[in-house]
Amino acid sequence: MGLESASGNAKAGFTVSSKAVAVAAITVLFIVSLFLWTLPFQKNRLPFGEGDSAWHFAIGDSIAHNDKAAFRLPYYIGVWYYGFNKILGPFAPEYPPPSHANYALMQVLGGERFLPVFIYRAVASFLGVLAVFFVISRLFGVLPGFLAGLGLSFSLREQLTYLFGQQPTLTAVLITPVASYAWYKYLVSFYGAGSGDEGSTGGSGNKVYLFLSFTLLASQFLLHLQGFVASAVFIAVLTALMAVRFRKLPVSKSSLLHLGVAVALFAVVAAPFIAIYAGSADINVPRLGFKRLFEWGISPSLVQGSFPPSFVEFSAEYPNVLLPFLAAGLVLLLLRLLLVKNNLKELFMLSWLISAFIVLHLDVFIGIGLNRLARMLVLENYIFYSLIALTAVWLPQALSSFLKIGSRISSAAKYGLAAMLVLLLVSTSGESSYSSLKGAYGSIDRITPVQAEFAESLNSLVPEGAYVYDPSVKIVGQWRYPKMRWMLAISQRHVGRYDGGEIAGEGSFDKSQIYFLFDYSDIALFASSLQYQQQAAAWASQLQQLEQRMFNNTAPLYNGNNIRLYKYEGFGGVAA
Amino acid sequence: MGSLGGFRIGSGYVPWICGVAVMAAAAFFLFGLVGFRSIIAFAVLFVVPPLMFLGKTSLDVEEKIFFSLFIGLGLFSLVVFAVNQLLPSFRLSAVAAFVLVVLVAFLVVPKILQRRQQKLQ
Repeated sequence: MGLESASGNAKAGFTVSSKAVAVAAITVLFIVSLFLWTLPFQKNRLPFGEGDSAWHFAIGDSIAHNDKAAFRLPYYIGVWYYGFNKILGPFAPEYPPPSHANYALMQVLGGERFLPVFIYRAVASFLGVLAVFFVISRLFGVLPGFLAGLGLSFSLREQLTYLFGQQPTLTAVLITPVASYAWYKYLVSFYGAGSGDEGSTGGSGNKVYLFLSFTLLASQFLLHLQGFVASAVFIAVLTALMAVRFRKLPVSKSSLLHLGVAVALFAVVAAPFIAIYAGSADINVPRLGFKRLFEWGISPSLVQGSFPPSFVEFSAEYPNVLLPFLAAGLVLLLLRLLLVKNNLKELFMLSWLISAFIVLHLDVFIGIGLNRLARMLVLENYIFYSLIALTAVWLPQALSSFLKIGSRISSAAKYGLAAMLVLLLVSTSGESSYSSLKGAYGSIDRITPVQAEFAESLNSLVPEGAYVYDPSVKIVGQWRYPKMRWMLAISQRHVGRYDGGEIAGEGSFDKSQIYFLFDYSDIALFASSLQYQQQAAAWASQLQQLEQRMFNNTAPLYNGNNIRLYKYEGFGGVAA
Repeated sequence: MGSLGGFRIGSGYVPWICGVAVMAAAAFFLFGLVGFRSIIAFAVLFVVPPLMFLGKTSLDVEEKIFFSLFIGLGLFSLVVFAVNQLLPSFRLSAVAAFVLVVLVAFLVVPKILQRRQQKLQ
C-alpha cells in the first residue's frame, strides 16, 4: 500500500479555473498582509523602527535627494559605522546598492518622501507569504499554499524583523524557497523524473531553471548575503539528497558547460560587491561549541540585548493549538518519504527542513555571530507553517489510504481541517499580530511631531559636515536611540549619542562643526504623567546640569518645543 | 491580447493584472493616491523588467510572474545603479535602465535566439 501524491492539481501549471482561484488566494493574502503590516503607519505617518530602520531609510533617501547613487556614503551616514569595513575603509557601504536604490526608486515613483518607502518596506517584508504560497501551491496545490501563506502573514518573528528595520535581510532570506524551487525544477528536469511537466531533457537539465536559480541567487546576494547563504545551503542539501535518491550526480558534459556559464554570470554580477561583505566587521567572531547542535533554534540567553525573548522562543511563534498540526506534518512528511513512490516533492521539503537546521547552526562551523544568525530564524517559519498547512491535505489522504475511506469523506475532512486551521490561525496569531502591529511604535518610542519639526530645521541650521551630539540617550535610556537616528535621517545631518568624555576625538570629525542637542521634549511628555513625574524631574535635572556646564552663556541656534541646539566652540574632556 | 516583439500579453496574464488592480485599490483605500502609486510602482519596477525576458521562455505565467518579482527586487535597481555611474541623474538613469531592458529584451535577445536557431538548423 502507498500514499498517493497530493499534487494532482499542481501538474502542468494551473487549469483555467484553478488559475483564478490561485490569483484570488494571492490577492486575499496580499490584502490581509498589507492591512496588517501597514498598521504601524496607517494613522501615524511619522517614521518608526529601530536604528537599522533609520539607517536603511537614510541611504535610500540620500540617493533620491541627491539624484545620485554613489558607491560611497555621504558624511552624515558614513560616520555612523565609521571604519566598519576593513577592506573598503571609511564611508564604505554596508550592503550592495539594490536595497537602498529600491527605496529611492519608490520615493521617486511613489511621489512622497516617507509613505512609499514604508509601503515598500512592508510589502518587501511580507513577500515571504507570497514566496511560500508560490512554492507550496506549485508543489502541493493552492489550498496548502494559502494556509501556509496565511500563517506567515501573522508570523510574529517576521513582523518583529520588519519592525526592527531589518527588511533587507528579510527580503533576501524570503527568496530562499523560490530560488531552491527553481533549482529543484532543474534537478527534476535533469533526472527526467518529474510528474510530466518539467520537460525531461535527457540528462542535461532544463537550462531555464538552471539560469533562473543563479539569477535568483544573484538577487539574494545583492539584497543581503544571508539570503544567498541560506539558498546555497538549501540547494546543496537538495542536490545531495537527489543524488542519493537517483544514485547519480546531476552532472553531464552539457550540464557542466551550462553550469559554468551560470556561475560565470553570477560571478560577474557579484564580484564588484564582494569586498562589502568580506570587509565586514561582523564576520570572524568566536565560534560556539558543538553543544548547540543539540538544540533546534536559538536560546533567548544567547541573543540577550539584541532580540527580545519572544523573537526566538518557539512558543511565541507557534500557538499551542498549532503544535498538533506541526507534529502531524513532520510525521506525515517522513511517512510520505518512505511510502510515496514519486517522493521528490517530499524530498524538497526534507531538504528545506535540514537546511534550516544547518543554517541556524552555522555559528558552530564558521565565525558568524548569533545576532546575525537569529534573523534567519524566519526560515524555520517558512518550513514549519508549510508543514502545518500540509497536514490539512496529507492527513485526510493518509487516513483515506490506511482506512480505505471514500474520496468524498476524505475531501470533506480536508476542507474541514483547512477551515479549522484558518479559524485557529485567525483567532490566535491573527488576533495577537493585529494588536501588536496596531500598537507598534504607538507612543513615545516613535519620533514625535516636534522632534520631526526640529529635525527638518536642523538641515538648514547646520552645515553638511556637522556632527550633532545628543547626550540624552545615556541619561534617559536606550529607547531614545532610534529616535535620535531618525533625526539624523530626516535632517540629513549626523546626530550621534554623547556618553561623556572626549569630544570629536576621532579623525572623521571636522572639529569646527560640532553641535550639541538638548532634547527635553520626551522628558516633558513623561512629566505630564503623574506616574513618571519624579523620574522625569531627575532626567531633566541631569540634562540641565550638563547643558549649563557646557553652554551657560551661549545663545542656542534653535530653541523651541523644549529642544535646544548649540554650536560647540571649545574642546577637551567634558564629562556628562 | 497584444503582442510586442515576441512578448505576448496573453490571456493568462489577465487574472494577474486584475489581481494587481485589486491590490492597488486596497492600497488606495488605505493610503490614498500615494498608496495606489506605490503598489503600481512596485509592480512596474520589480515585476515588469524581468518579465520582459522571462516572457520568452516556456515557463507558465505563474512562474514567470513570481520569478520576475524575486529577480526584479535585487537586479533591476542594480541596472539603475550601473547606468547612474554613467548618467548624472538617478531619475534619468531609472528611465534609461527601463528603456535599456526593453531594448535588450525586444531587440537584442530575439536576434540572438534567431541566430542560434539558424545555427542549429
